[in-house]
Amino acid sequence: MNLLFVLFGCTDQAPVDSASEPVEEPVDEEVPEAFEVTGQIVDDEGTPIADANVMVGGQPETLVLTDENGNFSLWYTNIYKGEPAIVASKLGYRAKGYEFFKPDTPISMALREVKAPDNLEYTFKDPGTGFDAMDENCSHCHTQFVRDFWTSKHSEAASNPLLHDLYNGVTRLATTAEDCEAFGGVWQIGVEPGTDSNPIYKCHLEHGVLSDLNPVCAESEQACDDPSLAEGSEPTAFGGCADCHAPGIDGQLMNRDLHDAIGLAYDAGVHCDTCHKVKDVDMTKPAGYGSRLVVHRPGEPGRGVFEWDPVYYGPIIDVPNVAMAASPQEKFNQSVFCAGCHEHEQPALVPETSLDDAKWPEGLPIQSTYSEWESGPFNNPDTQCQWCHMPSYVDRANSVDIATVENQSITFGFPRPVEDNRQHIFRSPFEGEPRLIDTAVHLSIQTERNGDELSVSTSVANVGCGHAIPTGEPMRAMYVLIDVETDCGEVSLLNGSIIDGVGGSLVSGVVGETVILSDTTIQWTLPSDLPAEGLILKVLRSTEEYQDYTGIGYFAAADRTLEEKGFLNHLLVGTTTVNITDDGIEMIAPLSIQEGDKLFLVSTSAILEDGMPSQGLVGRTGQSFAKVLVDAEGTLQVPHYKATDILRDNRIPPGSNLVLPHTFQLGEGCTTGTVTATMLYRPHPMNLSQQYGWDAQDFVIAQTNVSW
Amino acid sequence: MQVLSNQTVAFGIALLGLGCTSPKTNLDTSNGDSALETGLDSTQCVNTFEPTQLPDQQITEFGTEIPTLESVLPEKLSETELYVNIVQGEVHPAIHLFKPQYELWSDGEGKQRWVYIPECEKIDSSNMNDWSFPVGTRFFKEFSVGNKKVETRYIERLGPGEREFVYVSYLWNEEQTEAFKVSPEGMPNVLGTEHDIPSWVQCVECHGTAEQGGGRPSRGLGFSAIMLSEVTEGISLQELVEMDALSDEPESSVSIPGDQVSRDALGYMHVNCGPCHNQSKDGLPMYDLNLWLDVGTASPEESNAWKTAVGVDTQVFKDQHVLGRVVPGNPMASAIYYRMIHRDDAAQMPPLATSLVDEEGASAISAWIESLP
Repeated sequence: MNLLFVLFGCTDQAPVDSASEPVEEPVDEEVPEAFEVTGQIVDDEGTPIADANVMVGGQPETLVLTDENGNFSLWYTNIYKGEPAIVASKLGYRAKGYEFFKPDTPISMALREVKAPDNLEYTFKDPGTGFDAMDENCSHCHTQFVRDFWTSKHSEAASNPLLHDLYNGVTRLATTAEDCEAFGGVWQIGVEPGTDSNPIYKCHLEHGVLSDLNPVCAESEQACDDPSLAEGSEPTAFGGCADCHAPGIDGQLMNRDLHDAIGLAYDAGVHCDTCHKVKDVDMTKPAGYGSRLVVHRPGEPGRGVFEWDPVYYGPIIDVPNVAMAASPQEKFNQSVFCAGCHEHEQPALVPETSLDDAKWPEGLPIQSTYSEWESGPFNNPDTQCQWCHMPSYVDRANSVDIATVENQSITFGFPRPVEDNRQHIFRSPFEGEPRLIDTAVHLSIQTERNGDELSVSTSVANVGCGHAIPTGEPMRAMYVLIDVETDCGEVSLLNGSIIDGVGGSLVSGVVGETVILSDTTIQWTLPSDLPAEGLILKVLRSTEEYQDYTGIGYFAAADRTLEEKGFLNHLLVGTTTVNITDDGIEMIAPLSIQEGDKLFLVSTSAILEDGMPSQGLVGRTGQSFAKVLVDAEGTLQVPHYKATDILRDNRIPPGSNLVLPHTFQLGEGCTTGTVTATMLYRPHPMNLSQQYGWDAQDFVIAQTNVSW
Repeated sequence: MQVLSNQTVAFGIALLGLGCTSPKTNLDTSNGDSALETGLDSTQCVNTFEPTQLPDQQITEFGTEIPTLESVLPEKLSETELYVNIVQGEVHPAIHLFKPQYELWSDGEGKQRWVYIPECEKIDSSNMNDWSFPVGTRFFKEFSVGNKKVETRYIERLGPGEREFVYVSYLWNEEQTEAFKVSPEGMPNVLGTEHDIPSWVQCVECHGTAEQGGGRPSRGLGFSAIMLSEVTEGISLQELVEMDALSDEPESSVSIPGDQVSRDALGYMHVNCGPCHNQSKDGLPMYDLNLWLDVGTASPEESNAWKTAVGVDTQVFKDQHVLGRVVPGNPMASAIYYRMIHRDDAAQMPPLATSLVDEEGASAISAWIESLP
């Protein structure tokens, strides 16, 4: 253990500027129960600081602001616990504390400014393990918080393998050159993610962020992530991935290659030192770390173990420990902080593609979680993002593990209200008991029987989530499935929605475009890895009519036409089992198919289980809910970087519901039955999962049923 | 720092002045003198039980060992102050039985409650709607399924701060002779029953502050002016007044207004819904629904429940069945009733600690809604 670190970092109070603040020795004297404390706050050049916060540490009711001359006056009442201190702070300066105060003796504190510009020479600091309190890093004092962080998705932001698959255009389905060739890929050298230049063979697909955005390397003989790319062939467009996924890349911020994330930047993702170097959030700028998230790394030389004089921005105004040198920024406790990345508009990124400027004047809203919260009923000072995703600790004095009410001091910090002691778990949908996502959706069913028809209305409500469901990340989707069981066999759908292509399938085609109909056989180029048995063909036909829905953002405008809302109705032409043939499929029960019909092959199961492999839900009675990104070719559910339009966004806003009407034809002799509504959550689309070899899973997040 | 040294001395003096530093004393009350009676003279007052003390942190070879609030409580229920003889179920005479006039629904389980109020202290009742209990106050709540005791919960106020409460559960043994402290994770289906012992985090979700998921620290205990105003057994509001245990007496008689239908509904909602749905600083922050019945409410129409629920649209909860929070004459269209009769989904209210619908309570709410003009 580095003794110097302990002494300097966690047991020392702020150094006192000798010129104005001589270190005072304790004096054995009576101190009144309560007295006025006066003084002046200046900067490190002696210039008075106006509007600085001054307070008794841990006692926000004593907070005052300095006047234009930096002067303050506050009332101190002894609480007989710990080492009381007067603390001064202001955004852009390092907080400082003063313990040896007494009546009738004005005090002066000099706050060292964090001077512009952002220091490109700064090296982001390691958060530590979250277990060893002897680490010389965040874990030293904030052990639990760091442990929290390592359980979070933020820690995986830069190393997430799905991210790298998309970035490099690599599938994990092929692990040999032969497999790769059979898959239609190219077995090439690329850099191992997280390393400087370690070459490994990968199966590169036609599309990836680097290859799609950089024709110069896509046209070369090498992969775009090949560390030995010839000069002039290296990619220069990176899609902004690293701007949010890998903020810990040292040096220049923004427009960085995700492969610049090595070491800590790769291993720790969005880590402690990156967040706590955010000085401000500027919503006039594009999303990203170093843009909307205004970053200010310190450039003043440090002392002892500190190369640079520390500064950590955070929500607490009275943190004078010199190892923290906190600079208060209240936005850390506000939803707007999350908007730095979870609200993102982008231009068309793929060369020679463009957006419809009239439709998307601010860019394509790829991430909109913040604005969904902002326009909903959870937009309340007490229910910011942090309320759900950073729940409070219930029994901590403050963020320092060994802090207590009794040892409150400059060294250990001061007691905080519970809302200031937040878990750094960045709670995700599947965390908690119950899981966060299980508290979001409420389903209910009403039925009415009219002769041999059964009317079913299903209410789908977002009752527990502060933003739309599924969330603003466009790969997410949800599905409501309506199933009817009767004592008279199967029912047929007369009216009501079915799940469109967003429900997913093993393969899809359009008659007359990608498949050719010939009597009972269909010529169709199919992937080689389709299962030989158990395949079902579903045929959907557009009704040329559009559904209405509440919508998000552009799609929520009151004057939006149904066509602009883009949710086309389909009917299920039919379903049949098929046999695979040499050039396509043979229908076992011929269907009445016509030009323009959409064909889907699925392998499906009637059993719905939480965590089951994703199955093709297309054609099932129900509804899909998604923000559907479209590329320039009109392909649905494409990755963010390829998107040039949003076909629809019928996700469910917070505090709203919709009612789905369905009518079923009952068979003869029906006396009773049950209607079941099930809500499934799918983290990423089947087509991408199939392409990249990801585990594709569906999760049951709500279910209800009624009998009639 | 010398100032601190002076403070430390002063701190000790202050505690002595409060009469709270005496060693644990089990008073002999066999002659009929209650501990409360012995505590009327503050200069001689001695509390029967001291607040549990949090030990200092210790430096060990593995680092700093930080005692948790929960870790300081005894491992066995018999080692707490509740019982003089746990096998015979003999409760210490300084600890008072209480039973609120309306009870929190716990899936029909039997419950008994006791409270210890330090004799030398008073409940801060300056806000008659939100009592603040003195340091050292202990609550015990025993759950039984059939005739079998399954769990006893323990809450103690260890200090004046909002975090300085401790929440621990004890699991009874099959022999019903002892109960043992349960780990922080809680325990489901104990002793072969459907009863779940909550985790410590869940304890705080109900009994903690708003940020912890719940409301005011004093709440959710059924030990309020309204709940003790008319009781069939145990200590009553009037007895607390007579014992001089309240800092402020009620200005007038405390009661639930209205006819029996209204009283049953307002009382039920007060204890089952009001602990979270209130407008105190510790109520759920995002809702203006207020089902807490304030002391002094003269009529049902003046109640918070009436003003914030009857004829008021829902803020967040939407459903095809629901037309408002309380729709007069139509319970099924009323979110309050509708959510009461849901379990195991996002509509369920209360959201935790119950898996069965309170049919009797739901009937009371239904009858009230149907009676509304």
